[in-house]
Amino acid sequence: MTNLERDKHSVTGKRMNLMFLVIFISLAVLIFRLSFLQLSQGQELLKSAESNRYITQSIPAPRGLIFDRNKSELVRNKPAFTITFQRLSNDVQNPLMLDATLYEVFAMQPDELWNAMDPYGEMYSLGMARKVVKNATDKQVAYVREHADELPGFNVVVEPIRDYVDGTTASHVIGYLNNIPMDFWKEHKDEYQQTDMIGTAGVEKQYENLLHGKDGTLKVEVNINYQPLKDKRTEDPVKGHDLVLTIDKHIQEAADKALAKTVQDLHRQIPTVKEGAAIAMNPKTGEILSMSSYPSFDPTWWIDGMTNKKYAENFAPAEKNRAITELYFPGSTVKMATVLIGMKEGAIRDPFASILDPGSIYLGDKEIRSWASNLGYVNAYSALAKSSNVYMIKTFQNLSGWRPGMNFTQLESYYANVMPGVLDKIMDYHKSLGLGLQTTGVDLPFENEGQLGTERNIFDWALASFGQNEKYTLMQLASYVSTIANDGKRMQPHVVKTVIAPDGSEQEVQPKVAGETPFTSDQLKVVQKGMYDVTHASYGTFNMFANYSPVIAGKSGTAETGGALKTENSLFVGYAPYDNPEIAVAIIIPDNEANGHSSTTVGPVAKAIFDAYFKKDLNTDDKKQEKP
Amino acid sequence: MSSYKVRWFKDLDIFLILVVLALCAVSMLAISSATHSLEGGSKTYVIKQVVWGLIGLGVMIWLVRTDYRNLTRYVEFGYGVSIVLLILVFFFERVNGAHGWIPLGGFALQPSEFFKVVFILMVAKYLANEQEDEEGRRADPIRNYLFLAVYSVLAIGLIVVEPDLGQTMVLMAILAAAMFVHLPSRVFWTLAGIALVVLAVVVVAVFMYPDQFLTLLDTLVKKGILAQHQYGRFESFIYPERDLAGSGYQVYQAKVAIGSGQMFGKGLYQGSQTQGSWVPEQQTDFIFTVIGEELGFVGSVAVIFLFFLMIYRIVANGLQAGDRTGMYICSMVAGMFTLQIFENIGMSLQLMPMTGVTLPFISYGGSSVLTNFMLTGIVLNIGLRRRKLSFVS
Repeated sequence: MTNLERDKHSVTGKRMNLMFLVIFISLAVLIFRLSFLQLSQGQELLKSAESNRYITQSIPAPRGLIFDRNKSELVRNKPAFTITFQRLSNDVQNPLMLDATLYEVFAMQPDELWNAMDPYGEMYSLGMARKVVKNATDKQVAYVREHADELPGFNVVVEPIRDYVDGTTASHVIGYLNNIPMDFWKEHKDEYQQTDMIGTAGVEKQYENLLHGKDGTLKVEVNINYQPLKDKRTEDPVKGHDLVLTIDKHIQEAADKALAKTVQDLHRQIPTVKEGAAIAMNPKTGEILSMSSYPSFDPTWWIDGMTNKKYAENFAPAEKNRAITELYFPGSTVKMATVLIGMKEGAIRDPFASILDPGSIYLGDKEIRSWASNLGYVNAYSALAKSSNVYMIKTFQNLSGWRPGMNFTQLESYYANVMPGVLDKIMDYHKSLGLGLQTTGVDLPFENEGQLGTERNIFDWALASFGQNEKYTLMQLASYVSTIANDGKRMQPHVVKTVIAPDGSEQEVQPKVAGETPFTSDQLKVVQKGMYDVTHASYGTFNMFANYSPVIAGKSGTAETGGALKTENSLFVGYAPYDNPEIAVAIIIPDNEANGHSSTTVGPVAKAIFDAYFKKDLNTDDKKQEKP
Repeated sequence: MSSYKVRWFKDLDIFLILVVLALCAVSMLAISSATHSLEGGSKTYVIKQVVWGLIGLGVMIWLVRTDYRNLTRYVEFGYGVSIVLLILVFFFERVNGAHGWIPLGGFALQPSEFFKVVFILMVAKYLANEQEDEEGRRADPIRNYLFLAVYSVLAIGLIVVEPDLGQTMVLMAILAAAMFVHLPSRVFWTLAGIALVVLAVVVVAVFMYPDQFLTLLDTLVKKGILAQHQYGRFESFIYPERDLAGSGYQVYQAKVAIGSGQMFGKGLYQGSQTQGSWVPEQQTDFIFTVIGEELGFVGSVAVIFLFFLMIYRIVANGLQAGDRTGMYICSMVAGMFTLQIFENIGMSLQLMPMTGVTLPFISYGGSSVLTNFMLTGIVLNIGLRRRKLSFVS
């Protein structure tokens, strides 16, 4: 080896040592970086890995069932097919093509299906399966299953859906489900899926938090294509609470049927008659035994999918629960209140004292008529039985501070200083009876409160005496007649009797006293007797129940609606048995013919409810069955 | 030239062989885990890898027995064959967007892998310039450089056109390693200084001022100097989270996989990222994510340490080589492996941009394993024919 060679060798050797140093440093850099990722960022990156690892599917909690008071099923759940879509990677899935293939099968518009699939996670997280078709038809299910290979991501799952056993029966009390509103969902993301349905009316809405239960989650370990791997972590769903309603299905069906038939029959003669409502409740407990509103809907329409046509033609007219949302002039049914206030305020000193009802009365130059031309002499009892307007007006005139022959200045001063106080006093009494500017507090959504007269006429107190000044809901009238029947103790009306927790423990809803009236029991007895006379005296306006057993007391009413058509609302409030009330009813059929008789319009509905309650309708059925 | 005698059991670098076999064992475990949850299981992958390993061992033994100086003698022939193969790849279908493979029934050949062996031998031969003609004259060094330049440009050009950025980088690294030990001091230190400055600038720009760096690149794009997709590559390297729908996804998932392994790892077959195949190409280019996730920091450092030992033995063998050709070969092999290790692990750690470079002896793939064994064989060969302590001069 030459010197030159040896030099070159040694230079190369030195360089190789230097290179080895560089190599050493490079590998050290790797280890340094590794320690940063694995040791200082490890915990955080582990979380990312875990969020990769699982997709969460929600297992819908079965919604609580709804029973009537005798534990007869009103609402249950049934299994139905839901077609879901899970976004997979682009390698295995082409959302655009899937949309084009399926939108016709699913009877949807392409963009409708595209939004439901949400392939780019604009609404739902990518790991979540979207419900594309709910309550899918057998044909759709069969298509998806047969073409499973060509439809990556599509799946058929079985989910419980609502089954409304009796269709329209008590539908306004039960309510219905509709798609969860976006705003609501945003605030309750933990409890609901965006594709859930939520109680939108009735008990379904009022008790949503109890009925809903808690959805379970299915955590499936998946690979990059969201294909499930081995283990699944689940959190079991917690079933919703069951509800036992105070509603008696038998009474409800009788009331629904009678109301529907009566309205339909009337409609044929008087086209303005299109609707009606009826409430039956236990005056001692406030339990609502039936609540009908005609026309009614079938909550199943929402489960099957509401079409625009069906919505406009069938649902929209039936949507309102007329028993709690609509306001009506109570007409003569309010007269018990007038008599009670009169006695309490000393305007009626002796209920037996008679005055003449010549059929009309002049207040200043304004004539107000009774319903008949001459009712003769009336006292507190017969004034109710005959439904005398004159007696009621005179009663309130005694406490109104208005005197005939006041001059203009006196009238002006009266209008400004005295009259408002008089009306306020009347309203306070009304309130104590369940009427007035308040809701009854029934456990149903969208209940309206009463409405005072808006015109502020100088004779408003006179109109108030026979129910043409304020407007009340039928629920308020039911509460009012119940309060009278229950000797002045006003019970809060309610529709839920028992709440059954998922573990089976039952919690009874205790009757709640909403208030006591300031009237003495003697005073209450006067109006009770008056109501007895309404249904029993020969001159009673509603004596169709004269021979009914047990004894029914009541009060009819016809109220001018004030509309251009000059129609009147037919009303009846009453209770039975007279000496120990178990059931109170309030019924209205609005927009009846002027001067129509309540007994012929709402009478059949009242009879059907009492028959159903006292099982008279069953007896006839039983006899029929026994005869042959 | 000093004479020597092949003393098999005394001079064969058993230690290097053991390290390589240990890496192969790690490879089997990692491939088995990476393919564990795939349809059909990991069996076929592991068996294929074992078969390639055995073939590699055979080729290695054959290469140990053949004097490397005889190999360099016929390197032009090998080069010719390589060029033909590198042209042939264009007649076959692209794999992952590049013409890199020649399918042969059950497996595919990657000519650019084998070309690395030829290239190393050729560079060594022309740079060391130790061949003598019959009259004992050495070739003119300038002529050698010219030949080398032409040969390199032709082959590397073909690989660039495939396009295979990874292999191009590897070939450049081989050349750089050769230059590292070959260049005269003044040139070397000048270049080393420039390289250090460039490296420092890049590191500071990318890791310490990423946003300013991207803004600068963006202006370059607007001026038409840089293409948009090139900009995208930088962006997804610096912020993989911003481009999860594209190339950032793989880098992000790799980082998540390795990081989530923490100190001791999740255990073999227990890594959710690996078993869920969250990191694409996890049995080949991204195999280090399997090691990082399932064997943790401890396992990862152990693997890196094995690589360190391997390179240490390669350099040690080179230092004792009987001639400069041997030294150059060992330097280039060490440089090549280091580049592959650094680039491969580095891209999984979001330290280097993503390119298709395999992790030596560990990534799944026949061509790569075979090439690695061939180079190991040549290094062992050089070690056997080491320079003896000579008392004569």
